[in-house]
Amino acid sequence: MSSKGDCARRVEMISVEDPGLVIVGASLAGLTCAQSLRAEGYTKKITLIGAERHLPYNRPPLSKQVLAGKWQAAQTNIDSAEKFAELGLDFFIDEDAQELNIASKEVRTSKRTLAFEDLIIATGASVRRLPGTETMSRVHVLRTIDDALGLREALVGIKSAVVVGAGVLGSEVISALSEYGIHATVIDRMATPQLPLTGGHFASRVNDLFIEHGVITKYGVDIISVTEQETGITFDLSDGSKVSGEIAVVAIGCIPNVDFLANSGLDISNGVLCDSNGLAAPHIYAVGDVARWHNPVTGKSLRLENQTSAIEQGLAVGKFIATGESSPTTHPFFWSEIFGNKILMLGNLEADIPLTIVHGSPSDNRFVAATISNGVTTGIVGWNMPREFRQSRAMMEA
Amino acid sequence: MKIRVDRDACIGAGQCALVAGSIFDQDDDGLVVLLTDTPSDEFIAVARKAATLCPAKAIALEE
Repeated sequence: MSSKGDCARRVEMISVEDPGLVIVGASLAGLTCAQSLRAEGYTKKITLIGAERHLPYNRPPLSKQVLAGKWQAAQTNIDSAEKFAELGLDFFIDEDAQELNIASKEVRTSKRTLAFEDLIIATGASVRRLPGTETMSRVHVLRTIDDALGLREALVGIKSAVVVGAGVLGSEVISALSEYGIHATVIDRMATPQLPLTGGHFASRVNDLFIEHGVITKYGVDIISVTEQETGITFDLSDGSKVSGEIAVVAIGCIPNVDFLANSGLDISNGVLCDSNGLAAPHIYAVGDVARWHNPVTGKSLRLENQTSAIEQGLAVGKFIATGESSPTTHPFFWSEIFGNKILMLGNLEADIPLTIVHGSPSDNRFVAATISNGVTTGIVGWNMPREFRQSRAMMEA
Repeated sequence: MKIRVDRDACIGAGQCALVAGSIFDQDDDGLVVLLTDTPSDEFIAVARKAATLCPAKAIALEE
């Protein structure tokens, strides 16, 4: 009788085994969260699944060092497989989440159903394509390492290209094309180029760089149709003009990967809505490009597609789950390099406040500028002045 | 622990110099300068924090 009892107890122990934590998305945000959980003393099981067939990698160098041909693909890897093993992760690639059931605390994937005690949604965002061009081999996008390597190959031997989108990614691509000696035309439906979170303050500066480097600019136009010929791509524009190139690169942003949450009951309008601890619902968190966190300082909920936010959100959620402690709200940060100009940006510059020059001088092409509203610094940009930019960051903490 | 920095990857954000100024500095171009590659025990935690926060993932720690 006693042996039967032991056996029953053992089975029961296995059946109620703690399912631990599941991270959906082997992104930088998801991986940082796992590192943070372990660093903060979380000892339960962590399962990490990723849809891509690669180990997690850095995206910012794709449009910079990788496209310029300075880096090999492997240099973008974040950590080796051994490092993941050291963290005690059950790590699976080529597996994607398909449905979340919050009531039963289960996520169905392409391979199985995973139970969880806590879930981290770190599925990132997918590139937005130009409708009608999805199957055109001369139309490229730039989001994944495979995209970057494919585009780099396509640049060999060509003389002209069209870039759709004059945002930060489009501007970096145009800058890379220029280094390859490829003549670029840029199309955007907005009236100027745009850098994120800068309130339009740098639009004319970026445009001046385009003009200086012989880029043809088509602003304030819609694309009516796209046709692919044997040797190139032609865009018919709403102002009646046509522009052509041997290839095209579409850089019109990303869409958060929330399809698997359609029936979950979560608010997924423009990403997963979260509170300032990253909680979307009890035991459900979101981090990185897919997440829209509430910022208690500004009162706004913003989806931030930048690497530093992905890192900081991953750290904060790991700490919150392991210790119950909240982390202070941080400022968004991004960097870019456009035609050799090193741009660093912290916070959020306001469009209706004039820039205050904190260091250097715009006419020397080296300066740090800020927007200051009622004595509060809301954003800082460093333009070719990284050390002074770092020193000026204290303004944001005041 | 030994620290390695990749100046090719560094983008001059200065996160490392902010959280661990006794280990990291920036040159005139803003690129990382390693003040010591073998921090004493009391600085290991901030070195680890700098590596985690580096937006360009340009800092590697060999434990």
